[in-house]
Amino acid sequence: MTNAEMKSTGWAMSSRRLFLAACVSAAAIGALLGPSPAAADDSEIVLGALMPLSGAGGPFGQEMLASAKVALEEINAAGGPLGRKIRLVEENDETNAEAGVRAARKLVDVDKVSAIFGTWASSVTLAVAPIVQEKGLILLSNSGASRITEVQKKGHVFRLEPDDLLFGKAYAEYAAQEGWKKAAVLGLNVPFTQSTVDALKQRFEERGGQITSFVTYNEEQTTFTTEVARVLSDQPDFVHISGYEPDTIAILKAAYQSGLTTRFIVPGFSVSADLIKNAGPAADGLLLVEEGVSEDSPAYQRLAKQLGSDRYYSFGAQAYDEMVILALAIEAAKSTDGKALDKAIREITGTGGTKVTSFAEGVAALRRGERIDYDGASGPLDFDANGNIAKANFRVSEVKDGKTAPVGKISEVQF
Amino acid sequence: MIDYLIAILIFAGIYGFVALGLNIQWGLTGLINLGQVAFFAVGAYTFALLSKAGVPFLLAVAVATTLSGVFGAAVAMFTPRLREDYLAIVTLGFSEFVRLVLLNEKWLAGGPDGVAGVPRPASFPGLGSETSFLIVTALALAFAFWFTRRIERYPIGRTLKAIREDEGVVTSVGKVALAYKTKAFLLGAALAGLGGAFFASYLSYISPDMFGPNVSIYVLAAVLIGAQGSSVATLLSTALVAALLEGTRLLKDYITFVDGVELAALRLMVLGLALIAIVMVRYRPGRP
Repeated sequence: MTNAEMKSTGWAMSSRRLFLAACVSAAAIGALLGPSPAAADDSEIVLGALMPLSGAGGPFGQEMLASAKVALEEINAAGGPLGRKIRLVEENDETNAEAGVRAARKLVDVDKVSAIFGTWASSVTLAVAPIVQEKGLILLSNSGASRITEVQKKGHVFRLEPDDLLFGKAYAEYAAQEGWKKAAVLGLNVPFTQSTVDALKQRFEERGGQITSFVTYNEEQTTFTTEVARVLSDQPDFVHISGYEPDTIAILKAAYQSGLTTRFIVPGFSVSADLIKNAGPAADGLLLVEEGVSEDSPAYQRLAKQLGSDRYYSFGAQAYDEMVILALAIEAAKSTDGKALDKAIREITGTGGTKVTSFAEGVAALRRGERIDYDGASGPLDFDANGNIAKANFRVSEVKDGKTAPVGKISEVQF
Repeated sequence: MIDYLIAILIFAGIYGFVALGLNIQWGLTGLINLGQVAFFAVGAYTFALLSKAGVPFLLAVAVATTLSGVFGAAVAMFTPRLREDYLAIVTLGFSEFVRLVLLNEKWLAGGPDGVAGVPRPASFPGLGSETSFLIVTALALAFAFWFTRRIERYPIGRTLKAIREDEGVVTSVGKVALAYKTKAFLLGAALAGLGGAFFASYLSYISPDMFGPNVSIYVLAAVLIGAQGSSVATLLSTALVAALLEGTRLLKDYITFVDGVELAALRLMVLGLALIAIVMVRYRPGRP
């Protein structure tokens, strides 16, 4: 922008009027786009998929949406809950809390959804939860931040992703299994880091281990030579990196280039196939701890068959289960009312009923008047009093020559 | 539908404050400010922390507005010789500085966790929380609008415009340009802080990642489309940007061949194209 352009303020009256008129009409068109033409069929049940289709969570959001659609097809093919079809409305939260709130408003006020599921970033879940609770609807999230538990205590909000605390405990349990005694942590300054590391420290010390150093860094940081040298100076048995993909790559490369070797343990959500390719030999020996899925369950196998069995769909399995849980809860509650669903979600997942692994089986059992226990693609799915997954399973895999292979499991990690 | 419109109007109104503020600095005085989000953040956090501590709504809003203004004046006073691109860089840097302080200083405002449970003002009797909030926002925006119109028409406005055109001339008639530029920054930042207070109150949860440079850029786009001049055009173009960003969300139900993933990219492309088109039409070379 040059100075001359900046100075242009006076312009012909007619063009100003025209311009203002254009502004007003454009705003009006934007505002007046009425209710969607596909809407307003009373026999349909409308559910909102609020997922990060772009931004940091983009790849996961797209996997989740594809998985939810697999579940949608199965549910509608089986006739739907209460004999009504489900319509899925998808919205993008851009992995951003403010955009998430606007999208949630649209789902609640325009599409009149009965429930929202699929919020992934913790900040989005925290911002959307009050809207859902105010309207008395249901929110099923895939966020890990520990403070979400506080929000869930008010009801109507559940999550299928293990709490970050459980991730921290899972690292400790795995290290104890392997007989490691000294750990160091490199953490990105985001909400999950502190809670994960506190939990890791607590459980690791119970198991006789010790955290030798904990170094934090900021998002934009690109060189990590000093940080890596610092955490490795105590010769830990393993280093946990708590961060996202770009910084994890940079740290692995910094360690590789400085010729230092150690075991790195990272959460699965900070690593994709691209990372492993980009990091090359630097990623060799990297250990991934991922939210577990029930790989042998019929639900997961159906999902993997639909989406291609070459990948591991952890968030996808959760999104699939979220759809099925909502559909079964509506059938069990005989209603789409949030209060009834809040209760029904616990009933159909809790222990003691007939085990079912699909919507069709579940609906048949419910219509016979039985109690059911849905065991899904992502796990046995039992919610505790706060709406968290009570016992979480994790999978550990190792990167070797650019490929990931499972090397172990950490089962039933509890708070 | 009506509730959704109310939510969008509230968001547009909140950004309206920020855009009106930027218009005083950039449109009226010619001071490029790429860091308006910094003052927005100061206002939001000040309001959030105060009202959580039990300070009444109006008092918390007043303090948030004032503190943001003080920050704005400080930025102006520390950069007396900077203009144009250099000022743009410093303000952009300042906004990142504010965000990083909020992110790293956990004792201050929770660090990356942000602040949750920020209260809203009490609802009017018989009206819902959303409608009440819209009314309060609209009243405050009307006041801000009235205020900026007065500034434009009063001697101070004429002096600010004169500074934009030629600072030397202003100095030669005995006016202290720095004092006026500081005032412009103070008022612009205070308006952004006022918007921030409403933002925190409406969302009830704020965290540092909401105050990235993209907020400054959206507001900058609004002021640019409004041709950096009158407050009326600024408010209308803010509504236009909000409609472009949000209206495209509704298009998805009409355009069936675009799925959610593609639409995510398409929405920002539409905004970018609209901006280019408007700037090309509005700023044709040779126009007065």
